[in-house]
Amino acid sequence: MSGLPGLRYLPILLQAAVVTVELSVVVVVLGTALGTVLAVLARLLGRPGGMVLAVYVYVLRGVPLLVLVFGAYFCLPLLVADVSKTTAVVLAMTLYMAAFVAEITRGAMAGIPRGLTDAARSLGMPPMLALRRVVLPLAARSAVPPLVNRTVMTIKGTSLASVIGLWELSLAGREIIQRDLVPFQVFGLIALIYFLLCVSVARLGARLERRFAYEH
Amino acid sequence: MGFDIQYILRNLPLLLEGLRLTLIVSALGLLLAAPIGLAAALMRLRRGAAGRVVAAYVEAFRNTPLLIQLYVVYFGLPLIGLAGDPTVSGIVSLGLYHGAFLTEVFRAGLQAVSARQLEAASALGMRHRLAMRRIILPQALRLMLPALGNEFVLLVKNSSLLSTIAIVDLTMAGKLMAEQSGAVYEVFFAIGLMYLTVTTTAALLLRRAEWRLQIAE
Repeated sequence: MSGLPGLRYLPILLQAAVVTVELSVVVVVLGTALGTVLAVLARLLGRPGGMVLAVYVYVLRGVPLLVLVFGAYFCLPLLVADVSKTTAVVLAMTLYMAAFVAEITRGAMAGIPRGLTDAARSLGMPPMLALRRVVLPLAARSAVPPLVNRTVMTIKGTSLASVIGLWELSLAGREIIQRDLVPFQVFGLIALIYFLLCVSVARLGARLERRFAYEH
Repeated sequence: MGFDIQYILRNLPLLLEGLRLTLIVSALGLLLAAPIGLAAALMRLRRGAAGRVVAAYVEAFRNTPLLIQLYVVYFGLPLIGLAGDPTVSGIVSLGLYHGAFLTEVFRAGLQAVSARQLEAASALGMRHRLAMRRIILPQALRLMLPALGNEFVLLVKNSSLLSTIAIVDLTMAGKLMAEQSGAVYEVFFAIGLMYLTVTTTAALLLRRAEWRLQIAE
């Protein structure tokens, strides 16, 4: 069970880690964008918008990500021909992440005092401008910690892509195990790679948070 | 393509059997995670080596995917001479993973109760352990109930990963049905609805418990 023999698997695992990182970046970018748009749209549309968003968030957050991944993988080919595994995973994970981001953004915007919007409006700013210049920048500050947390969850979540056969870090590990039965070395290395990725993101997030903090 | 509800109704026993297993492993997972979290939180609050070990456990388990932890337990246990029973591996993994998250929940709850209460209790002659049990823990529990319930909902959802080590839980039952039949929409609609029902019920029960435990202020 010594750690060293596992090192010969490092090159292939790092190659797989690149796929994991790519997948995470795409999902985080798309999920954050979609979630923010949904939250802003819901706010602009008032009560009915809020209710539609609430249902979306409720359904997507109430179902396991794995079920969404399987669902996308099995259902998408019936709708459109030629769906790659990557498309299915990205779609499922983006919709899932967007639900969390929408809820985070909604909460962050609700935390901005109504008086600020009123002040901006009375200075003659149209609603969209007031939202863009006043509410969103302030909301972004309080949204940073939960968004960073979500990003870490997403990195870990990409491991689920392996269950539909998308080759990334987790599947690469499973393939090696099936060939050379050395679970501790290989999964140890994989866990370490995930750990470093997640911790780096968390550290970066903490720095971002400090930068965005209010100056008293 | 129509929506063949008959297919789901015909195969409902299969799905319900999966649901039953999902509920059982989730409940056992929580029964393991809660004491782990509480013990770790109590150790974490002390200075010294024990606190550092717990901190390392929390960081390691929170920053790696549950799937990988599950594989280590499932594929690794047989190598050190322990039988790799999938259900046991799954419950242990769920317990360790969510135990790490619960450690932080319990720690926050314990710290939220004023330290003066501990001082007051010791002034009345209570030992630390007794003061913890009678004064701090009951109050902390009330404070952390929402986070605890939230973690349970996540645990139920994460129990779906057990399907990757050949446990026929709700997710696996659905996947098998989807592979064997053309009724893909119907199957995923049904299992999605079942998970939603479980998570909603858990959330409602929790809100009721919170409401009952509320202090009149």
